[in-house]
Amino acid sequence: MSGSANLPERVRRRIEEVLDGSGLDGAERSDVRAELVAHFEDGLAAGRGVDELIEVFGEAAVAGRLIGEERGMATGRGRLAIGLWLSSMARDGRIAVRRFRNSPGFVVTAVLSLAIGIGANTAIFTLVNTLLVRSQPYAAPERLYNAFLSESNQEYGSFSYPDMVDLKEGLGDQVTHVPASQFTIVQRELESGSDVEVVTVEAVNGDYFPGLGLRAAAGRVLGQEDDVAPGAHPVVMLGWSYWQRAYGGDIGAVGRDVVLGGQPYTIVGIAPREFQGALRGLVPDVFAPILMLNTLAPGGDDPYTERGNHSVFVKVRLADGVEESALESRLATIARDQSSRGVWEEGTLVRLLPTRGVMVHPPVDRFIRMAAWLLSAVVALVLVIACANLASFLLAKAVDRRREMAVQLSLGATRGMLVRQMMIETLVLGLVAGAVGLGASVLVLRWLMQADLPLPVPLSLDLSPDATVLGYSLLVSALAGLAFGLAPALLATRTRIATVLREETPGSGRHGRVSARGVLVAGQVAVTLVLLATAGLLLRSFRATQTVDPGFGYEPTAMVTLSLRADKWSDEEGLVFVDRLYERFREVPGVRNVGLTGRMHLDALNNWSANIVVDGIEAPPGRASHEIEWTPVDAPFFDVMGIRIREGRNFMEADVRGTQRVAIVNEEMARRFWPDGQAVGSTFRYASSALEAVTVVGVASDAKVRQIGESPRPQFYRPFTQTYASGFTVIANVAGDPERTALEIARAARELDRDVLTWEPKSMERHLATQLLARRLAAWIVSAFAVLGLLLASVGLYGLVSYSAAQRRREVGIRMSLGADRERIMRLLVGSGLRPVLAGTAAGLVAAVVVATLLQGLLYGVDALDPATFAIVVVGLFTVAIAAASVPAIRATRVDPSVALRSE
Amino acid sequence: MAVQTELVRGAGPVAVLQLLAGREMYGYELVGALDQRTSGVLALGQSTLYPMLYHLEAKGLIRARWRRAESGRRRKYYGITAEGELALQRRREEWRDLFGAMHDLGLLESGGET
Repeated sequence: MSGSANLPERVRRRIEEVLDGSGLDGAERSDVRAELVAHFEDGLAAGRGVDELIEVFGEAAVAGRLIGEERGMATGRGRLAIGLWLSSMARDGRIAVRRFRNSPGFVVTAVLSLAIGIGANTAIFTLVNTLLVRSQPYAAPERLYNAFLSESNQEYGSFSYPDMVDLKEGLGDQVTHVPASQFTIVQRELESGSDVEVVTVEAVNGDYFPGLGLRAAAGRVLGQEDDVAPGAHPVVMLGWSYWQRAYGGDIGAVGRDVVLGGQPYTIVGIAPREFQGALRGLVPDVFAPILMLNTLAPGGDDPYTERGNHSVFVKVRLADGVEESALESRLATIARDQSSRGVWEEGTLVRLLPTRGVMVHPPVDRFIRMAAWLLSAVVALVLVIACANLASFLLAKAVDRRREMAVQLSLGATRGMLVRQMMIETLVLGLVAGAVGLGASVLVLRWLMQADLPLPVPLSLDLSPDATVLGYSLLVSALAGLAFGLAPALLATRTRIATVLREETPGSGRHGRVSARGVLVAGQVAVTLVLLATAGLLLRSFRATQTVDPGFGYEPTAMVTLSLRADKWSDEEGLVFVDRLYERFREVPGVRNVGLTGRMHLDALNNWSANIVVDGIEAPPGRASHEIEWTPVDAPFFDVMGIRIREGRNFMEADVRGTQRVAIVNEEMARRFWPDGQAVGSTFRYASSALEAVTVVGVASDAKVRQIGESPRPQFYRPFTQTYASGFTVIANVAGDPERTALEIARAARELDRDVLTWEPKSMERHLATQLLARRLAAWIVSAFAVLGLLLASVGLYGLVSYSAAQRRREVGIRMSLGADRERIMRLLVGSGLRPVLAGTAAGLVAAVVVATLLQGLLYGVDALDPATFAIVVVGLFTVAIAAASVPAIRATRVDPSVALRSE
Repeated sequence: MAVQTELVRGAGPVAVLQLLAGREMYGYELVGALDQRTSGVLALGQSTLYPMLYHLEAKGLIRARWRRAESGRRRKYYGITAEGELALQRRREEWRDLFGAMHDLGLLESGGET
């Protein structure tokens, strides 16, 4: 405006400050500028000084904010009753954005800390959602149940094929479908040439797709017409992901042939995208008719008559009008019939669980749920710490805003309106942080799924955020925004108008607010301590398992699992072929020593046990025999693994079929059954077999069988030459890189015979890492979050101390000018900051003890109340706390006392 | 002369309306009038006067126009609207009732100090 040029520079600058604070632009800004210029001109004309005029005008920031709010409202004044609420919300939103433009530092800090909390929560929830919440795309899922064969030694067992057929027959018209499937791994020959890949196949019966109510994405689904006679249906469906991966989603794949296990199959359809197979996490590449199992994976026994092979997962779909109770009683009848026919063990039951409630398998589900709860709790705590930080910061700001609030109250605003306005500000922050956090969680999860983790099965989870995840992060963001905004909003607006209106310094009531922030810091410290203690215990537990001696695998070792075509060779021919394989393997560069085992130690998914009878040793109560783990091995196995023969002899070439049946037992088995040290030369029998007894010829050192943390478990070994099986794992001590050698061994096997199925070429190191994966992930994830928590809490403490130092600048100045030394001032400031830390530590210790006690079951080799862990955590927390408090305190003492005194 | 209670809530706007009911005034005039005619009791911070004026304008209780002052300079003059008159009338009665009640209680006769 014209007149402004006549005004002194300082006045002009003050006017522009007010205008900047208002956020107004265009005509509105010009109008207000003109009025303010006139105001100061009048003041000068009345003979008042520039300093005086500026001082009585008051704070530019407050004036700007208020003017912006009033003028902003005046322009958008549509006072319709219905639109009123919305328009005032929009106005508050505009005000919020305007305020944020003026304090970018705060916004960045707030958004980042909140984003960390919200991102962590979203990432964990995405996992939980995929595993626990997201429902399968089944039609009428409430009529679907998973059936389990519940026997004395296994509560939730799967069925054999003939069991499933009996079940279906027995259920009759009580059910409409009995969808059943079995998983297997098959070698696929790639069209491009001689190379092969291993694909996961879910072999399904005719009821499977119709019974689940699934339609093909392209082509048709496998149905009753593909479930007529064994070996008569060379057709497959592709899983959606595999179709995308292997065929680039080309619709022309339907109708083409794919060679699986050496036989051609016609692709008749593509499974729907939403359907990732019946077991979450294990996504089948290919669906094939269950009656093609024999052709796909030719094995020793006929899967259609063998009742000992419990590999079929069964569901049932209730017929209309049939109650679950009616089905239960029919199942009880079936179980009684099967038992009386001698097909099932006495007391065997069929259990039903609603399909919607089963994720993978009930015992596994329990573990997944526990892990999910633990992680959710951890990330929720991180978010709480982040919110407390921001609440603490806003409490400090609230003091500055009390004057502004008082003015607004005097202008007729209600406290509710002001609280709402402040809440909207934090809500906007929460939502922005939520968007950042959501993006970060998507990136982190993508990275995690691509990370080369030593998983026991090729795990594949669709972790893309869906509507549920988006809704969740929106909710969390909103709640976080409200949570850290409410207390400061209530405090800032709880004010006596006139008092504040006339106050020039925002110092009064300081102690009340500092203590409110102190409470927040104490809370952060308590929560951080719980996180740190949990992380410490999990880390120590992980370290403890890491140092456990598995009893094998001391040297660099390569391993590959092989499966020979059982229909191609007799057992004798198979053994001859294995000899040829060995010759070939020894030619692979770096291979020093080769052995094999039927079941690798510490393979979580592959455990075989035998029921044996030992003369003179009573079977466990209620059982007729002892259930003992066993595996076929060859003579070099012990050397390659590093398992020592303590007594007796190793297997020999002479230990073939037709000669004395021999076994080597481990030390634990020898101790348990022949405590007098007479194991060698003793015998045991298989409970189910009329064959000659097995003679113990040697005792081998103990090795971990199922889990790294287990106490010694009895196990026996039988010579591969007496117990040939077409599937086994080759192990080789190598010089050089075992991972690479493993691949070369696999290639050598296929070169010798292209029908040999090879999978999981890997190093022993990686194999052992699989066992530790869950503990390692738990330990590192919780530790990462604990460190984040510690970081956020330190920021909170830093903020508290620097604020209190700023508040006490004058006091510090006086004390220093009176001769107090810096050390004393430091002690004063740091001490005031550490009081809430002490209180938080005390509260945190109590909470941590409770949490640690709950965690006891997850820990190995460390006591839940391990004093060392707790001591380290407390000392570490204190060290960080003192550092966080010292930085601003040191800065406060560096101020020149005269400057500090003048500053107010 | 600080008034330490919630009493002044709403007093500021009423005072402004009352002043503008007499004649149109511009910002600096209002500042001076409020200070002098209330012996400083209602001397609002100037930084709050303009927002208050904009607020009253937004509610339709006062209106503003730029015109030349006696000094020849352009000033933004505020005047009360009919709606403002009504609002002032209501407020006046409220304050009168309030003071009447305080008087009846004996509060005002004793010359209470605040």
